[in-house]
Amino acid sequence: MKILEVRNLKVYYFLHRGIVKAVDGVSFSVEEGEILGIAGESGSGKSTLAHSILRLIKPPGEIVEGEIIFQGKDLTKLSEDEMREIRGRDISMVFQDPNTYLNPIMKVGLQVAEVYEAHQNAKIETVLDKVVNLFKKVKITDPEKRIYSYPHELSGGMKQRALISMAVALKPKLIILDEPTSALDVTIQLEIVNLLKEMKEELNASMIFISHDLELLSEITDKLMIMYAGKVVEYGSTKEVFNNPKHPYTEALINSIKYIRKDTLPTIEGEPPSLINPPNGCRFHPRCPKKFDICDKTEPSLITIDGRKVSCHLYGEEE
Amino acid sequence: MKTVVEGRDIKKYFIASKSLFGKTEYVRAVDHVDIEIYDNSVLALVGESGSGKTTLGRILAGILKPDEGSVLFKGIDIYRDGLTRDIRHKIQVIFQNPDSSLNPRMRILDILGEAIKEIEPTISKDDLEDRAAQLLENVNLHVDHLYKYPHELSGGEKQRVAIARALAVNPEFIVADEPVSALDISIRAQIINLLNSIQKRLRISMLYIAHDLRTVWNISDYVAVMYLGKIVEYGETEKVFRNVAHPYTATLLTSAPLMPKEFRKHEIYPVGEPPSLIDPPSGCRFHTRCPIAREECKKLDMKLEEIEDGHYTACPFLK
Amino acid sequence: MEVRIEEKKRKERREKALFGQWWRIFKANRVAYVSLYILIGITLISLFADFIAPYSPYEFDIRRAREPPSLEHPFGLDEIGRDLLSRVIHGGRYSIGIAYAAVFLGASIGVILGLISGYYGGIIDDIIQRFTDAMLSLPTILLAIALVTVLGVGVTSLIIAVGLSTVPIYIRLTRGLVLQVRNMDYVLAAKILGKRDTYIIFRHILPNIASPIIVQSTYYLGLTILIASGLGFLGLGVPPPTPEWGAMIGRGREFLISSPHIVAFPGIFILITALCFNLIGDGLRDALDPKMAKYIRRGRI
Repeated sequence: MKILEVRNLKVYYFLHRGIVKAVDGVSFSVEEGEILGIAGESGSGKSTLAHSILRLIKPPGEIVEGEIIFQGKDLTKLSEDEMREIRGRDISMVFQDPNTYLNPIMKVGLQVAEVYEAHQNAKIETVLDKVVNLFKKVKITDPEKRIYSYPHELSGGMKQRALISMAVALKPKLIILDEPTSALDVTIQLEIVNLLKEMKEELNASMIFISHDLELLSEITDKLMIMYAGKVVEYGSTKEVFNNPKHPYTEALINSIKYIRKDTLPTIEGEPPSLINPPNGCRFHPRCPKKFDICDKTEPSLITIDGRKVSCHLYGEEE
Repeated sequence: MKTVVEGRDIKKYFIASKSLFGKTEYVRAVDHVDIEIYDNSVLALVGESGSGKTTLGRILAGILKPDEGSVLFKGIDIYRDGLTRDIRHKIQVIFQNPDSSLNPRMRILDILGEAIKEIEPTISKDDLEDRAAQLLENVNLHVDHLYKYPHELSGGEKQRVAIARALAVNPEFIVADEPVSALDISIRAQIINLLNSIQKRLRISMLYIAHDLRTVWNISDYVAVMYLGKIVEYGETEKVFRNVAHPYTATLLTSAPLMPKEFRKHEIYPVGEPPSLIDPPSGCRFHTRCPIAREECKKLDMKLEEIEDGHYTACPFLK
Repeated sequence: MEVRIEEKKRKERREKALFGQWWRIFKANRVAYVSLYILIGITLISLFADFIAPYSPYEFDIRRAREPPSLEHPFGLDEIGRDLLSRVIHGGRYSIGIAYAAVFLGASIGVILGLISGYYGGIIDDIIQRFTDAMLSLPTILLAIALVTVLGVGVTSLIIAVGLSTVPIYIRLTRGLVLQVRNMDYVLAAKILGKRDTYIIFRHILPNIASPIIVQSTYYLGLTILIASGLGFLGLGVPPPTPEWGAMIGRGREFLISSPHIVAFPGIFILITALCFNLIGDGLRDALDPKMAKYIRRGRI
């Protein structure tokens, strides 16, 4: 069953330099119990996409078109009050940098307890044991003491665990993770990823995992969506995408994370394009090693091939 | 082989807190470390955040005086005898974040120009521009970039400018402090290839500081693994990867999901959170997180022992 | 391979204006933009006072003292029968001139001390900071009064007094900014290239802290006009019969009820000028902050 369906979403930023088309016609869906990975470089629109699902886009950004269907409701049409109900309760989010998300002068346990306060009108004192249980679940050592710690007394990994506990507190149906491990050390990253997997199983929730780290995504996700310059270039099961990338960009990305000794690393020449003035036709064509005559003229559509969606002229048009 | 830079018994503590009556607490960033960089070779210094690798790099670059110990550049003790201008030019640094390493109020021409003037103080304006253009050419940047400001360049381009600036003074030793971690994956490979080719062509010795083992595997001849201010394993890159001899290095290798099988000789993962540098564990500093720790590790004196030709480890237990 | 740059391109690029987009953003702030023009107008009028003023600011006719505004004398006559319009026009020279000179003096000393204090730290920093603390413990206006009492009455001593009274604020501001910039990697990179401290301070640090200092200076221009006028009002400013706005109000205050115009016109000019400086300061602050520039909606510009 589909828990979330995004149809033709467009999110633009209106700057004085021009319109930044951060997300430009993106469609995808998340099945129940599935972890969808969204990969892309900075400026690919993956983070904007995540924020727009919870309608956290602030001016000058704006959702200009599209539908975000969550449990039958179009989130783009809800009022701000209705959205507030959904945030944290039905859809929660874990951010990249716990330091900017946690209030430095408030004890961590109380901050987590605030989630209950906000959604269930519970008094903070009455939910403290619930918080202790949550901390146990996310494997924070010594939870009875830790709920009274201030954020600066916790390590980066601990803080991220506290944020995760906040995100799972109300047993949401969907958890959006925006680069949840990028600020952490490699050894801690893997632990967090394993914790997230466990949480998903326990809550039977779905997850959207956004990251630039393909290596990590290969480990945790069921499906993978690769974004480039605000568009989806490839979207399919993680295993298949990794084993047999179809889009030249995906292929190049996967090549770039191979272990190669003392030799030239495969690269993608050039730089990601400007989103104000994206290239004509396929947005990847200026950097594409396989481009041919029509790539700079017409934009490829997202076609289904071998159970996977690819947006590349190499694979012809859909029947 | 000829040694270019040698650090002997380097110690650097930072004051963490000081109270009027209590004792002063120190962050033990680098705790009695010996290190050598050979002529025309790349030594990778690997470690997680807070391991002291950046501090050690700065000490070796001659910009941070150690509390104890000495740094010899081609036999000259740079902190005891002082840095002459000539030696200062021979040691250059490439920083992690190109946004903060280029002065935002200066054009690229002026940024490179001030480096060129160090070597040729009386150079004419036209020659200076040609030299700067040549430097840009060397790092594969278009001449037009000379007249731009840093904010008009992408992250990868900025890092190339930073590399060009370092090369302007004909260095013999470069400390590259996580030069690619702030960049996108597709750009990382470009910069690594550039560093690799420059190193080979100009026969520069390099200290490559990183936490990303993929680039370490590609670029380095030797690896030193640092944990909480101490070097725990050191040796030729091939030997360390294939024949890992310290449990901490082993956990680093297994924490990367796509690490090739041949480097995963020991499938072990670290436990718990990294301890603080203010109060590091007694004995072997890794024992609190080590999956194979024994009782005696709490008292063990961490000393590097040679286990095969040119391969040292501070742990006798990983078999 | 030898790289040569085309001669034409070289010229073209060199001549490319370094003027950033800040002017566009500043212009978009209508209030600041209009304030700038008003201020330029007031400054020009005071500069060319000799040609513009209809009468002499010093000639008096005691019989017509305190005459209210008329066609002949649009601002009326002052307490001893001088043309108030002419005096206000001439007074701008002193009031605005003193403000510029004082801020220039205060900024020069304060910024240099702040740069030294912030860049070198240690014992020099301690000494400069304790000195600043001591000066800051007095309100700026009291400090100025104290200094003018020591230096005596006159235009020069007024400039010095008002200028010096802003020094501690400049030291604090500059030092704080230096501390932020001092640890940037580009400063370290310059050190690694072997650059000297003075070079680093003037080439790398000063340009990067200039914008906030310029913005603050605009505010202080408004403030110093008020301080100078305040001193003039208290009789501690320029000696009579010099037409300085504050002094004019000071002497006209006895007739506040019977002849309010004597106080009103210089008062309005002090208000407008100080306000303009503040509004320009706001505009500059937004325009010179690159982060602001990014988030301004296109529609507004």
